Amino acid sequence: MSLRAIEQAQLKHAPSHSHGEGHAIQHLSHQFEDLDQQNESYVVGMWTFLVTEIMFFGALFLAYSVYRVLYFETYLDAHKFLSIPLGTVNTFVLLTSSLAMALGVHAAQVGRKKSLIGWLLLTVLLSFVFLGVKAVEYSEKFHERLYPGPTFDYVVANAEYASHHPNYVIEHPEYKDFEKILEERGAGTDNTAAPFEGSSVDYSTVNGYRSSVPGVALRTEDLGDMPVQVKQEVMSNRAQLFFSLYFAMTGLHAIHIIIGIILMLVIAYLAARNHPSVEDFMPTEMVGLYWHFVDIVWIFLFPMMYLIS
Amino acid sequence: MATITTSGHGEGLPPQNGVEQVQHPPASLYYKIYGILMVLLVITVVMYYVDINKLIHAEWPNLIIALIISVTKAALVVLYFMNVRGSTRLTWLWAALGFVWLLLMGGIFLDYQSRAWVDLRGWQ
Repeated sequence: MSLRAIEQAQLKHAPSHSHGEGHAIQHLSHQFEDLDQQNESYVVGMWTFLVTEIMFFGALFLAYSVYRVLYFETYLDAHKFLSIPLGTVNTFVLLTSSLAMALGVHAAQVGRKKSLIGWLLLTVLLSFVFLGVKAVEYSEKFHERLYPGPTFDYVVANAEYASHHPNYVIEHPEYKDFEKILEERGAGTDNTAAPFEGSSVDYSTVNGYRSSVPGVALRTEDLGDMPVQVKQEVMSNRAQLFFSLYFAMTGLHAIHIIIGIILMLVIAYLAARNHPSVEDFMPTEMVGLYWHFVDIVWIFLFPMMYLIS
Repeated sequence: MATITTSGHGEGLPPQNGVEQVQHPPASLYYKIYGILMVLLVITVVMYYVDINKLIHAEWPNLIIALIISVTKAALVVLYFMNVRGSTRLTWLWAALGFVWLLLMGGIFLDYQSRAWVDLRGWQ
């Protein structure tokens, strides 16, 4: 159904606009032939921006894919620290916010201003829920010393994990003495307990380990033959790479969410003030396109980060 | 399914200056798409706990199924929530181009593992 038909149908049903709702008003700028051309220019311009965004996130997804192929064993091991229930809840919240946004855009197109503001505020609310869950997840990672940097300690994180998951010790006997590891290397709440002291292993002596860059060797198949200490350090470096990508990608995504919240609040405020800028529904529709793009990024992030199998 | 047409002039209006008209779906379609997205989300999570790889002794099915579901979800969002489905052909082209560029960028990584790696001292 075209917008004109929707408008006409509405006018038939409620010709007096008794609830303070008007119909969509569009003004033609002088450089355009007609409204159709003007609207197409809006959409194509926005999509041009979104293409650059696809490339922006695409580069990170490619980096992720390359290292996933190279260090799959570590990725598989590291993803256990990400909470699948929280990830699922966040996917649900973001998909729902996308629905609210789509309905908000629809309300703008048919000129229902109150409904538009309501959907926008619901979308903003859901975005804050998303960010809240993200904050909980991030603080857990800081707490578990899985934030890339000097305090990153995969061995301690694993020992901590082993203390809560008895089954993990069966598959990974090197963490059988998790209490000893936690005591030696420091554990728990203090992130600065054990400063990073650099590699204690001479990699040139390790059989089958070819690179002099710790943890960045391209050969992965001989990880199992390495001495436990070397294996732990190699895994730790590779896991740090995984969490670097995790924080970079979800962090960049979170920044996009924050920008989206600001945009939606601006539109809602202008609509509430009857500002002429939002008489036309196209600005709202463009924010909608942006928001759905942010949703799509998360649709890929969720299975790639949380559901590695 | 709702009545949306992709070919522009649904109401019998003549094309104006060669620009097609955008067709907008009714709100009920958004709820339907949302329902499908929710079902796909549940399938994604359930698939994680079902290890097909072990069932049929192959290495890739789980990853491939997860990616197919993700691509389907993304396609639904692009086509309906972003309304590329009812948009003009130029919009179709622009939206498709983004993914063409992405494929090109992915293509240059295909030989990544087989490149000559120089044994250099890294950061430490």
